[in-house]
Amino acid sequence: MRRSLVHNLILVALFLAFFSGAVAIQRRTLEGVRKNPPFIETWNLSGRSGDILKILALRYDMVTADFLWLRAIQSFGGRGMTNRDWRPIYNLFDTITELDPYFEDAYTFGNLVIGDEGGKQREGLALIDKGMKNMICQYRVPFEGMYVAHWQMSDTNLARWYGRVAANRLNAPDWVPRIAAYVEVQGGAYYVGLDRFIGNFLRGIDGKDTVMQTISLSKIKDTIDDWNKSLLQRALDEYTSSTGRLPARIGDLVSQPALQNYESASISHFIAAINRYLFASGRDTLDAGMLKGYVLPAPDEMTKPVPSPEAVKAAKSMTPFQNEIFRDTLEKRGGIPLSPAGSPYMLNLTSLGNPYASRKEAVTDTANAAEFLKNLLGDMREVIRKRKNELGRNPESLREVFCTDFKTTEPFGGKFTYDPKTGEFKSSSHPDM
Amino acid sequence: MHKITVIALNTFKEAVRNKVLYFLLIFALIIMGFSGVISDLSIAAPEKLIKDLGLASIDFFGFLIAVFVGIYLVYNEIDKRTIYTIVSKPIDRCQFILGKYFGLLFTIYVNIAIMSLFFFAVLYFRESTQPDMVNKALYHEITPGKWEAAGNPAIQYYLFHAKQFGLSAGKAFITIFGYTEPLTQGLMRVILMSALGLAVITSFAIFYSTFSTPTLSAVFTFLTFIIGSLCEDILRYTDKLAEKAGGVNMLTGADSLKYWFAWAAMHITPNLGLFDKRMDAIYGSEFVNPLDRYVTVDWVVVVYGLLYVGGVLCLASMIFNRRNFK
Repeated sequence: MRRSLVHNLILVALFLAFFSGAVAIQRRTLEGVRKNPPFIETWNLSGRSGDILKILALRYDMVTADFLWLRAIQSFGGRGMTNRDWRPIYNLFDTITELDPYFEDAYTFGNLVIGDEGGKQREGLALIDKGMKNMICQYRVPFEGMYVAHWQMSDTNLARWYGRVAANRLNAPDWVPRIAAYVEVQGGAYYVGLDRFIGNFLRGIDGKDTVMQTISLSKIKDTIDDWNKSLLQRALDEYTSSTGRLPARIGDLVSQPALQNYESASISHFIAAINRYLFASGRDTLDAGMLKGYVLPAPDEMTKPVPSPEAVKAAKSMTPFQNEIFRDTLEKRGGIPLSPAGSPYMLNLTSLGNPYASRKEAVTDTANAAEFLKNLLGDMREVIRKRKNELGRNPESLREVFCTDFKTTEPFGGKFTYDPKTGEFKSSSHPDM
Repeated sequence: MHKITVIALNTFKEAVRNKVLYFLLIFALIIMGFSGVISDLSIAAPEKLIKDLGLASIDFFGFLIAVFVGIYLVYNEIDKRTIYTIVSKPIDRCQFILGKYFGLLFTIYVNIAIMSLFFFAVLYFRESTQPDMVNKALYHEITPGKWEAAGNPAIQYYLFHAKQFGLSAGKAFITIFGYTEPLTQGLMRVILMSALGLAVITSFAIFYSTFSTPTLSAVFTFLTFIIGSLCEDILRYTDKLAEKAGGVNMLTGADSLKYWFAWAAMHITPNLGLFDKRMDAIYGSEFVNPLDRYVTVDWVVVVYGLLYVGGVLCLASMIFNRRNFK
């Protein structure tokens, strides 16, 4: 009995000695882990890891991908705090998608981590391309590609390609073709963008969806506006390269080749064409409230007959006539176009030749220029007011506000005036603004 | 038939006394329960994680049960010399092998049913206890934007979870018998196909145990499982070898040996990938192939599986018939 007790006591003592030693070492290693930032190094997977792991995982490759996915999420959190080397994380996502080729989130999140966060958009797009090949019905992966190419890389041609793929995917919701059409317009493919938006508008009519009609009409207007502005910008470039100076007013561009017998679209032609087809099919024409703010067609344009009235009357849908309506919307003309909102185009002299302004801002229309001026005046007045509060009096000159000469040009060609007595800052072209 | 049933039931009774079975089952259930926790670590596709892990656990632990329980069934009869009392009775040795096989298969299927029940319950429970659903249960809107607690929130919280647990368990039970919701659509078919694959592997476990020791049987069964899982990769490997040489007839030396060895291995062992429909269930067949509709039972594969089982059991019976127990 006594011997057994001693025996047990020795065993307990040995257990305590061994176990406490092990726990002490464990505690030290854990403290060491705490000192380092988490997940400094991602597993060093290579470009072939996917192939090898696929074999090693036997048929459990999806579960293996899931564990790597969890690891990737943790690594992303850790890597955000350390360096931005994209290779290990790229290989990780590449391996995940080799193991589970339909793991949509791995492509999109991988692209976000590598491209959006890591600044390596081309490498992020390599993952997107792989996802597009593996998932032939899904819109989300090419849509992400379009987003990255357009909004991060400013590569509109690449974005247009991704957009077209996304819009044609089987599960693409209604809004995907709309955004793809927007990207087409941004990339200068006005015919394609216009055609897509007209298609959207007609589907809105067929579905009696007034919201879709309103949005599509607004997008058609924006497309025509961008189209006109691009022509004017081309004319502006031609003018500056041929004369070596900037134009003083929009009228100076009239004789440039870009504005001779060009093709563009007209919102009034579009409205007229739609109303003609609606009338021919026995439906109500467009609501006047929806057309507020657009250039309306002349009455005789509305009454022109459609090419095949019987076919239009028999058709249950408007979409079969998309091509005809599209063609009717186009027009050949020369000279300075009129904006679809009806306000004439002009040169924004504040932006023209300003190296800090984007090229597109040089051409605007009077309504937009007035809005621009209003905002500019508001900003200036706010800066002056703040300076006044600091000084306890009106600034004596604008130099006292901006610490330099005030050289900003007024968009309409007038002058900015500042009265130190009253502290008023005004524009000579719009004194009431 | 009666004799086979009696042996099968006895085999089942014997198998359920095996502690390894319970360890494997408990381990599988822990992993499935754990899948609900680790899915929260994922910023996307948490359901996919649970489904992946659950279906893989059912398949893999089913396989482990087949191996660790199956390899001892025949061996124990010989080792404990109980085989003498059986072969001395008017029982055909084929009937003995079939009885052992169906007994083991029944054990595996009961375990699969338990694992499936737990798996579906985890899925349903997780879906029904999402934060917005819990909030709806704990608070109700009196006027737009104004909320009031429905009783004591702590008590309501536990009551709600207990109720959902019960409901999830109930739904999980009927799911095994064919009830489906979008969440569990196609999963039972995947499990059934997986069960068919396990029937094939079990036949191999029984076959190996008729002529070798448990350790060797386990090794052989594992190898069969590995080769069976890699069947399609082996096919690509042989193709690559042939392509490199410029045709099968051009293969010489070691390459020729490798080619014919791999060719034989992939033709003899069952292609377990055919029974694996997990990807279809997780993503839906439309995702993978728009012309296909969700998980379908491939009857050719079913016939293939049954033919394999029949063939391997015949072979096992032949070997067992030739064994001398004198």
